[in-house]
Amino acid sequence: MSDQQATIGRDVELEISIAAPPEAVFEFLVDPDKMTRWMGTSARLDPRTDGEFWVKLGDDATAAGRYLEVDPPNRVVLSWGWEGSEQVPPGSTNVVIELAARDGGTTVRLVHSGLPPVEDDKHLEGWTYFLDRLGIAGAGGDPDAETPTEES
Amino acid sequence: MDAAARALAEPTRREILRLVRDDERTVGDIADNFPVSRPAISQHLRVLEEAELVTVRSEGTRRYYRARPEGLTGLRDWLDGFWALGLDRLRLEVEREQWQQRKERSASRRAHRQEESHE
Repeated sequence: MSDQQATIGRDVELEISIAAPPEAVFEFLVDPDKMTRWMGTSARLDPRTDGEFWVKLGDDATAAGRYLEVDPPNRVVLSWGWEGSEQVPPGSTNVVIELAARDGGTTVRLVHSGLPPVEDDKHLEGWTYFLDRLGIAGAGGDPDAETPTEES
Repeated sequence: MDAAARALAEPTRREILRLVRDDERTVGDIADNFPVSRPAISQHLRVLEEAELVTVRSEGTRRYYRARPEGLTGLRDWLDGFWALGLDRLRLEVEREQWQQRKERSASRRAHRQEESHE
């Protein structure tokens, strides 16, 4: 493998600012009703170490894993994979979400790591599966809709 | 990215990609590894080529295929997009809630003041 492919193996890292205190944001990471307002259609959440993390994103796409760390209102670490998947089994990747108070609001930093390196055959399957699931969930841009609308 | 994801959604194409990852191969060479017809393999190769997952080099009448790993960087970009969209929704929902709560608080304060002034 050449070093050129280093960018392929990187983690997903994102940061966003929210005009609300960390305590308010944190609720949306641990409360099923609030979770499904931004991600998924139904959720089973047990926000304590080793507690269940289960979010149905689409008909054929359920993210499943565990809460590995719950430190309100600063930090949540999840394991993340897909229910019924051999390639990316539940809990096979890691999502770290950190909240920091800043200027009266919150800076949210998300890092999704442990993703399958695409260089490897088996992991290519994993990626395809992974993105297939997300593709279903993300289609149409409105997770609340039963089926994504073609028009608009 | 859509083209790459679609191209990879088919198991035979993933297998082809694996075959040409380290070595360039001709269609015939690739087809020998599969129980499907050569035209079918050509079709798969065309999809992979359009998705920019393989490159082709012509030598005389022969065409040599080889994997193009850069084509896969789009996969990671796609996941970036998924989370970016997710966080954006998170922001909207949290801020909407904050706004709602402020509105309710000020409404109840107003109601309270009105009650007090009636007494």
